[in-house]
Amino acid sequence: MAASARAAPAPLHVVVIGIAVLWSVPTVVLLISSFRPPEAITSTGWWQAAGEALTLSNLPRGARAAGMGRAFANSLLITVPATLLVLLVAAAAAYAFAWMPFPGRNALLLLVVALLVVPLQMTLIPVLRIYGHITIDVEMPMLGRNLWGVSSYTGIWAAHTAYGLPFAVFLLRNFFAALPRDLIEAAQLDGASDWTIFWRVIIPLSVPALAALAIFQFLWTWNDLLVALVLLGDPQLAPMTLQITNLVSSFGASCELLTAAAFISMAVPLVVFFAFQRFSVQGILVGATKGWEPAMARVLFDHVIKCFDGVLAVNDLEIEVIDGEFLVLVGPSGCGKSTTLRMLAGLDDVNEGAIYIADRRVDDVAAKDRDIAMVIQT
Amino acid sequence: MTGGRFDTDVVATLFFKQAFVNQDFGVGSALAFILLLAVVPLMAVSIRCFQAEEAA
Repeated sequence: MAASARAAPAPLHVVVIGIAVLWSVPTVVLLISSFRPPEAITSTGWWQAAGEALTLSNLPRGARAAGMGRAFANSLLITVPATLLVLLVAAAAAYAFAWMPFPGRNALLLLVVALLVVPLQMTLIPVLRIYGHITIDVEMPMLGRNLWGVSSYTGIWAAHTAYGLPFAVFLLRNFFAALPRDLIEAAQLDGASDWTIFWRVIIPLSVPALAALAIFQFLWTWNDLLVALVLLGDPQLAPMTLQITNLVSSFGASCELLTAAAFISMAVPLVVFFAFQRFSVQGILVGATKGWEPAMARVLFDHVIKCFDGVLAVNDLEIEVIDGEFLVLVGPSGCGKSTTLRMLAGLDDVNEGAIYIADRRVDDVAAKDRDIAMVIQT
Repeated sequence: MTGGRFDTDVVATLFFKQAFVNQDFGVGSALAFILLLAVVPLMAVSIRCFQAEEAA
């Protein structure tokens, strides 16, 4: 992977850098404009900003402008629960689709795939009509006027969750289905319930995919204007995107406040992105290439001797199993095969010699810390 | 950018204008349904691709 990236031809680099620059222009312009005084913005273009006096007053003014603080809190209050809900529901659904056979599973999965391409505008009118009928009008402290339906946090959480689910379920199902069947079967043999397998096996192995999904969903919800515009009638609940739009229409010419507010709105997704970036890139790659590399390592027995009460079970064993090698030990009963495996797993001590897994000496390491498992077949 | 002026409306912006600015939910619903019909072929293609991938 790294080698092929280094060997990429020069024209490709030029194209990639060109696209990166092109995509950065609006952001950079926004940043420059947010530091320019109002007179400069209205009289000259952003490319003439070099050498002119810049100002720091836009950012605090933009932040204080009509309800921006409240809008910032609203954006977080909408985005964070909506993201967590998508992760939770999609992961559970994806596990069922990947590893729990039930009638109609394939039909339901195809429905999810079909829903991937439905534009969410489709749903706005029906959802709004339904919300209008089932609005529960209860005053909530800090949480706005309604408990449910139009202009409620719960209503917009449900909407964003539903809009995010088809892609989320699809992404996670493909990731879960690519995990090795042996892992799930081993857990089932140990008596693990679906609940245990989900939380103890699937979720820990899927952190890259979950992190990538969390970033996508956070960005979509944070940047959403349409859903908030339609479903949140109450200005007290308006997120940043809605408040910035209102700023445009009510202030009209106050471009400098607009750019400053927009830049504040951009900061949060940037922080989220960079915080999860290393998971995200990995997650995207893992989602693209189906499959999962099992952990392999070299195993080395260095002059290992084992006696049981004067009976020599293993005499001066010297054997190396290289990384990825498949090795079978064959021999008559009592020749020390099981003892060898038990010493490797840490179930029996070694009298003399050393055992290595990868480059780590493990014969004095507790069994549970060796990262190795032994399955007995009878 | 243009706010749909100068004949630059797309189905989605026209839908929004009809439904929420003109308050004509009937026309809005019709436009949304046209959007849905437009993606039906895409739906068929994505299902076909998914099935081919699963079979492989």
